[in-house]
Amino acid sequence: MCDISLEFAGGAELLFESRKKQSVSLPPQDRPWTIDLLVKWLAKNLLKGNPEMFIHADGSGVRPGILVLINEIDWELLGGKDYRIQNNDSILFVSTLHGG
Amino acid sequence: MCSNSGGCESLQRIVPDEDKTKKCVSCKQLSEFVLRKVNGYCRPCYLEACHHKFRSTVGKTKLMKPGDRVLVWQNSSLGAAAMRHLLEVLEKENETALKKKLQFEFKFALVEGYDGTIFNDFKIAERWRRISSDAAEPPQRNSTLKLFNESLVSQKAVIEFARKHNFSKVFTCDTGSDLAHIMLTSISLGRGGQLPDWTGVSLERDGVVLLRPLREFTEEELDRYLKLYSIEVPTQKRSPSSIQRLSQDFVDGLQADFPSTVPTIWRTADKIAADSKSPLSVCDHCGCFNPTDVVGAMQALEISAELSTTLKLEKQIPNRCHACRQISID
Amino acid sequence: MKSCTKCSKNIACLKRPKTGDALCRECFFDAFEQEIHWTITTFNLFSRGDYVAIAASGGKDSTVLAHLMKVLNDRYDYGLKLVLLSIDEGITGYRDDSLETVKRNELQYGIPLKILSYNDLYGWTMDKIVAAVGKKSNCTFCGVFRRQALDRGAMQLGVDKIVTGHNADDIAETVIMNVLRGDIARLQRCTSIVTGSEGLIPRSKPFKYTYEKEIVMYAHFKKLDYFSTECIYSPNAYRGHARAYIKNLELQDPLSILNIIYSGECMSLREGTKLPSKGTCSRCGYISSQEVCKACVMLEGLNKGVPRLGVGKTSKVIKKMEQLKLSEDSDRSPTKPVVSHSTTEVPSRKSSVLRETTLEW
Repeated sequence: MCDISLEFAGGAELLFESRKKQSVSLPPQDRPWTIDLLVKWLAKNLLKGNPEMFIHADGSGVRPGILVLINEIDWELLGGKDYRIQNNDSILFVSTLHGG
Repeated sequence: MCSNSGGCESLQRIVPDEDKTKKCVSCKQLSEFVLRKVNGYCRPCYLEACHHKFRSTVGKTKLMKPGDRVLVWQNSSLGAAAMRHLLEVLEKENETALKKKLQFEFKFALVEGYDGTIFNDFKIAERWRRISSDAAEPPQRNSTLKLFNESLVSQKAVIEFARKHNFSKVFTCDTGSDLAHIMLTSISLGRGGQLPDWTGVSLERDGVVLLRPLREFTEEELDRYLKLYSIEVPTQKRSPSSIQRLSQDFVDGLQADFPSTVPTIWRTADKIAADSKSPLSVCDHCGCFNPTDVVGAMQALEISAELSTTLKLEKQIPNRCHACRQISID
Repeated sequence: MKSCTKCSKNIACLKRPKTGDALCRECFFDAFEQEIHWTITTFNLFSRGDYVAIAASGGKDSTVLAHLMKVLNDRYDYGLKLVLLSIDEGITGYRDDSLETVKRNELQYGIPLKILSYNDLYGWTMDKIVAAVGKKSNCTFCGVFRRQALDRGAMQLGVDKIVTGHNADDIAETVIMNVLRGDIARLQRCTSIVTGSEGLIPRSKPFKYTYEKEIVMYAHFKKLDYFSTECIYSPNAYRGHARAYIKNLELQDPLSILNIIYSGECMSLREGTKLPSKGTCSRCGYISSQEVCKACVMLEGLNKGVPRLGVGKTSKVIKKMEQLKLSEDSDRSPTKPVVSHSTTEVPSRKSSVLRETTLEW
């Protein structure tokens, strides 16, 4: 069981009904939850809009231009999309693709 | 908000004009096929146009001298197949007194590693064997650098080979599409100051001149050329995941919708020169211009490095351009 | 968890794209701010006493820019007088939110704000333009008008310099776009940190070497207030392809973005290449390679009910303008003169629409 808190910013929230913060309980599964699997799960279950704006074109990971922070740390320092999600993790998706 | 200053839609998707595409652009008779989405051609006019373009690309360089020995660098690409046929036609034309002659001695070579084999015959060049390389390549950080270094080493090998066997000229089989890919890759590697060498019509090293006679042909055009002569079109090779691959996909994707993409790119390359204010400094590894007095991005990189770490910075490899510094050598 | 490569004490929160180093929050703020300061001083972007307009859109780049300008001006005593300059294009529901953000920025950073509208400057809002032109070409209109609006607004305020929040990613994208379009003239200029020819107020880009990723991270960790949305009129345009390419390159090798800028800096024109000459618009004095500048052409078209006049080949435009028999005495004047030459008289116009924009200071 994985209880995590999600945050969307920088325009990414527009893909999730403009909800900037949500808590989610990830259903148990045989494989450990990684960011990659989370992204796919989000696209399937919570995303309202064009999934291409969120998921990488080749189906794995996030679209280039979306930054991910796990507990306020750059995911690139934590193994990227293969990072194994822990209970009570706080994950932020910030889009850099929207205007500014 | 889009912070652009416009120009986003400056290239509208091409909508072919039905009436126009039905006529050959040269002779105005019925066209047999369409290229670039908008130009109709009949077979004879198109082939004439190709042969003319080939001759004029070489001719306008004014670099060829009567009696030149030309090494034609072969591989299994579409460009190479087209080159073989174009030269065959050229040789036949030289036999008739009517046409303007390009009197050169052509030999074909397959060069890999630092060794190669020369073929006299157009036909034999079609069947080739892998020549194993003795020189072991040092491992590179990633496939981008590996691919780049391989192509650089091959180029050096061909030139060395040509020099050893008394060839003053080398013809490469890079098409305009290839050069468009190379241009974007070069820019992304920080080789903007070296574009004439990587994408221009000619390049000189060690007294050998390397020419790119197919640079004004897109892959689509050469594909059509081969088909008109019922020659099997070699399958396109795509690089593994790398900057080269990204550039190929990017250009090809745009070219499909906007057929003037590739010609625009190599025409732009023709107008760009290296910043010539700095004294002539040449990179040890690639032999290209190494701009040493451009104040900007490189200094910004140094500052970032200084501010981000307490480690002493490695001494810069002298006499190497920025892009070649990323490549490890023996 | 990695520790900071600079201080070795704290836990690193960010991997820097240019160098791959891992920095903690404090060291990141420090490096980020010092690098902008380095850029400003190395390239002599300002002189003491300069009155500087910060192009403010309420977006991430301009909010971080405003914050930085204030912080650095105070910390290093640049001696600058700052103002936030915001342009209201008149797009319902879009600008409203970002303008609210800019108004908050005024209070948050203590920098006075000046908002100028397209309606003030041109007599047309983007909503009205789109209604006339349709959604295909509105980007061209908006872009041309915005670029001029910033210059015109700055002119009215009497500033010495303009700064915009264009970052490294933007510039890399522009280099690629100009290569694809074969626009040699723009290619030459687009990596200059300061742009603006004679008669125009110089504008510079302190974020030229700053990656978008770091701007977003800085804004996030500093909890800076900004607004982001997709412009409701922006199509899935040609420029979007270039942006995707840049982002994919960044994944392969983050240094690519800087490499592209470096490439641009190393490029120059081959001898003998012709460039279109730059003169000034005969109607408003704005810099233009044609007799009448893009903005005036577009406005003329809008006003005369030929809205697509500003879109398309110049030769056709000239023909059409002749057809319309455009003269200096049109019933609705396009634009106020940008460049005020003391010796040149501004031609008198019958217009009643041209309003004087007064400063409310």
